[in-house]
Amino acid sequence: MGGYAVYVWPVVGLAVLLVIGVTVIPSLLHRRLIKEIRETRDLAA
Amino acid sequence: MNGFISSFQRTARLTARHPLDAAHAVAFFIIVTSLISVTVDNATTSGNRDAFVIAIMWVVVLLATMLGCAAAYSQDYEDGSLELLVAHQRPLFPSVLGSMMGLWFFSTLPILLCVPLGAWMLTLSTSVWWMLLLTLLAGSIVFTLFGVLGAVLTLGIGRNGVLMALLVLPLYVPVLLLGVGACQRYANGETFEFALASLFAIAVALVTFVPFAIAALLRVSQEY
Amino acid sequence: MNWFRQTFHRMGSPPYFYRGARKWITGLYIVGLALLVVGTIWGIGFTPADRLQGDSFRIIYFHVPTAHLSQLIYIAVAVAGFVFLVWRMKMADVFMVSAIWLGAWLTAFALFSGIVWGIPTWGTGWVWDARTTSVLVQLFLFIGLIALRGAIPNSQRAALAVSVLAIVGVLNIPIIKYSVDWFTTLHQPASIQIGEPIAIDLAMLWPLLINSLGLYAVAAGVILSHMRIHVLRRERDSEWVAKSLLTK
Repeated sequence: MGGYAVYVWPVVGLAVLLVIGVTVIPSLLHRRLIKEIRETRDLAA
Repeated sequence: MNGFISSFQRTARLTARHPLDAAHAVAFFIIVTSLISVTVDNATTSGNRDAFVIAIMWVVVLLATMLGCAAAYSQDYEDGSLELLVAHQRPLFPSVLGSMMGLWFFSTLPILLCVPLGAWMLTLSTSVWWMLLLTLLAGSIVFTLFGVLGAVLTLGIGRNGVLMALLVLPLYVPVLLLGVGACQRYANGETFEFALASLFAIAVALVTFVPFAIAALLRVSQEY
Repeated sequence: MNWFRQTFHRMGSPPYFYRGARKWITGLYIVGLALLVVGTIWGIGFTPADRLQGDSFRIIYFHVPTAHLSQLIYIAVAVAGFVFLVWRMKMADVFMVSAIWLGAWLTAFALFSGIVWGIPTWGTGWVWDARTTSVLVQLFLFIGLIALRGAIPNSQRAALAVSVLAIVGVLNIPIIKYSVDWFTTLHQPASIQIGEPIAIDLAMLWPLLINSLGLYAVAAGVILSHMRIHVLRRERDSEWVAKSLLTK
């Protein structure tokens, strides 16, 4: 590694966090919504 | 002391219920600061004091014009005359254009008339005054157009002042840059004709385009 | 053209979309994440360091794809707004709601990575030139769209207001780019040239391409999964929702 490598890591770290965040959060929201609909509409299988 | 604590907690609860409202004011601060930074940046490279004054005057006129537009159509919306207007005026475009030009004449033009006073207070070189007024003439028309657009977008929402600013201020940026640029270049003794021409071209284009968008929104505000 | 029309109409139907999108999301995530991992490792570990910028140029592998994609998402939102205004298509509205959040995050990340890149390269994190100003305005526009969407209770009216604002805003992006470009090229020619990509070596270009493709795939997956949530929330009282939740 040459110079200035210290500037790369915060960007990489945040990029990883961003990708994890935007992919995981929708699936959590989806799961919660399904649970909520099952409860309110009395669809418990 | 009890009253203090309970009121403080009540405010905290109210803020938690509408957290975005508090964020709007912060966003307003950030956007206005960036508007000033964008316009002042040219002045720092030239080091001309007049260029600073021009930038400040433009931003102040922008904010004042926007405030003047905030109440557009809200009276009509509440007392139902907007419903009549939408129902009876088939092409809504001329009516929208007319009320916007009226708004510009009676609420924006007085601001422009006070611009020489502001220029005098900030000791702007008198040779730049007419250029400042000329660019602000085109600029204030565009500010009024987008201001009314913002007011119509937020029609019927309570506490809509800061939200409207949040929507409208980004739209102002290109015109602000062109107008301030033309004026600053004139003050620095550089070629300003192209910037001035594009400023007026954009103003004319927006005068023909934006009223259609506003007319469509007014129709929608009565449909739903 | 017939299959296209058929798919177009099917995608407009909520139950068909809800069932069909699921496979797509999984596929897009797998392909996209794999590409991102390959591109990132290649970009960080196996490309030669830049002669002038040292290792900090590697930020480009994250900055350029996000900046491009965020602008593309803004244009896509405006196109969806146009579709909604003309045909009042429900799915166009669902797309807009789902895409503006991702667009705002991507724009914010593009700004952040640009600032970090600018510190060692330009000597300053921020310059008020064409690129930076237009990206900042784009972030404000995204935030405005989100705020407007959240403020109007009636969803149909909110969708129309968001469509109009998105369309008016998209006219601004080229104006901003060219107006400031024009000023800076006459005014301070030095600063804007720095932002222009210097002729890139092919060995440095491959990871950039791979990362871009990966990010596009992941973003498409994210938008689709958000759209599924919105479809489900909207149609929560319908018959097909009850059926598809029972059979699971």
